[in-house]
Amino acid sequence: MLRVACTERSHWREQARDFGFHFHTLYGEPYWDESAYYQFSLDQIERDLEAPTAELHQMCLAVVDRVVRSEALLQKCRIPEHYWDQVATSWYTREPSLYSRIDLAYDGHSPAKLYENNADTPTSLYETGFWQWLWLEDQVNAGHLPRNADQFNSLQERLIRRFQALRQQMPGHGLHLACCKDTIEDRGTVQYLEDCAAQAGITCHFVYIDDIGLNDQGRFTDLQEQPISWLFKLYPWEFMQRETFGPATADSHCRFLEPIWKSILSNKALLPLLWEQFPGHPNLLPAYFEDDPAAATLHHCVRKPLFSREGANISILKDGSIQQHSPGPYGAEGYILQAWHPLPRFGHNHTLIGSWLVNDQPAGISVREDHNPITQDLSRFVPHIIL
Amino acid sequence: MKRSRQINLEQMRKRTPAPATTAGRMVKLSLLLGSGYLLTGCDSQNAQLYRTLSECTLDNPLHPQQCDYAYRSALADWQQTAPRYRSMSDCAYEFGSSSCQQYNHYYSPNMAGFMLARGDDFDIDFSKRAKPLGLSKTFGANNKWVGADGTLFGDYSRQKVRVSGNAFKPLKGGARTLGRGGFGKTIASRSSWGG
Repeated sequence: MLRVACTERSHWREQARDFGFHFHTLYGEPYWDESAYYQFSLDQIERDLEAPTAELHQMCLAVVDRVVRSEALLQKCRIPEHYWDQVATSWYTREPSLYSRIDLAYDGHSPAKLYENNADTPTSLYETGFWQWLWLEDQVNAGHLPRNADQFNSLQERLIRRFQALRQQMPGHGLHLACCKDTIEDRGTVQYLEDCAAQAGITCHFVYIDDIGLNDQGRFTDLQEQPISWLFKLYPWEFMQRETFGPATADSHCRFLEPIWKSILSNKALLPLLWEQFPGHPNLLPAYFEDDPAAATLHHCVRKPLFSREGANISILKDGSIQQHSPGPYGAEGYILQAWHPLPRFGHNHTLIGSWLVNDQPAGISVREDHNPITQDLSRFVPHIIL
Repeated sequence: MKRSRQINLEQMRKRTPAPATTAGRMVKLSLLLGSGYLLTGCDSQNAQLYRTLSECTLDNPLHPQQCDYAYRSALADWQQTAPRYRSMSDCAYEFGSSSCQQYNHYYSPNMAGFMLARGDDFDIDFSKRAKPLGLSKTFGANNKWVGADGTLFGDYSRQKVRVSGNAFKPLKGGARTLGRGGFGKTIASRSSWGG
């Protein structure tokens, strides 16, 4: 695993406009950064990232299977009691999922360690599945990278195939896709999924999550008053469950992507539950609920809110004192502690691997860099190759 | 090969406008207009209103089974088509609090009676499906019979009415959006959250 400096393609900004990649620069800072790439060996990809990703995912599903059968654990996950049956039914009937991203700390030789699972609303999908793929095509065609350079990235192909399979289960139904207003990245992610679904032959409609209505039949509607029977929502279940329309999801005759059982996976309670069920697993870090006496064994650890995104409200604790803290709005539902395991550094950069799954199949990786050891939403996206 | 073999770049391009896809919607709209014309017939029809099953059987001693069937089918239709409200107070505003019941995630009024068609010989025409009715308590239409779609059928005290011919047409369960904005509020209070 190497970080290799390289020359930017001269036309990439123009190309970004052509393809509708509007968020390559955020708040004046580069988000897409092709002044370097990461180079992996095939072994590193297959043995250290792909195989552990598949295994970690199966372990996560085993945790889901345990949680839905236990009121005490559903309570620990802070899933409101009103939804316990709905979550369990969704799991027992194996409501289909689309995709996930797990975050891994990996330095090229020691086992990758699971940081967290973004199973419900993962973003940076377009940059991974399409944009870095295009970058490699261009660099190879221009002769800047060898012909045999590859990339761990079958994301787009698998998404389209997954949508084709899901389409068979929803004959005659269009897919609505929703995200919040005023976030260009989320809109980009949803647009990309819409493109993939359309290529799988699905009729798509877009609606902002805030514009969704509820009609007198208990069904969700779009702005044209059309009932929504199949909804991809780039909006977390933990928010939906606590909002006005949340209770209506049960009888709405709407199938959701991701399904509601994913609210167990996108929850940091997953981390102590994994450690409890698979103690000492090489790809896991010791983790405990904050109120667990065993948490005292962690002298150097990271304190994460049960619900948190993009590195918000995270503290690094050493022997009881806070070493570093990131601000944010989360934490009301409690915290977990995870053993300190710093991201590997390449030069001044702290590097985080996002490992993607489509349904339960590993589908590729994204690499993000930050000058800060806690990666945040402004971390730069850097492409990678296999050589 | 660990990456997507082929990506259709033309389909990923955003600058050339995609072909308009509004054709489907246009077709639906014109169908709606068409069926609207069919509804505007203006023949009228005698009808009988019953508040309970026993009123019907007392009135029609020879047809207790037909009354029973009429009552039950009306009740089933009412459950399908009756208006649903997100709050008790919204339901009570239109139907009075004593007649509103809570269901899973909504409130809905009870059926207050059912309407049967009468033939020219003034006998009940049981071949026409009974129409379920509620009792409106809303300002301006207090104590009036009201259909699930909001059509009024006169004072609650009346038992014989003349209605338009299509009053017995079954309702499809009108889909009225009661409100929007029930999702998306959390995000407004938190700065960033993407995964």
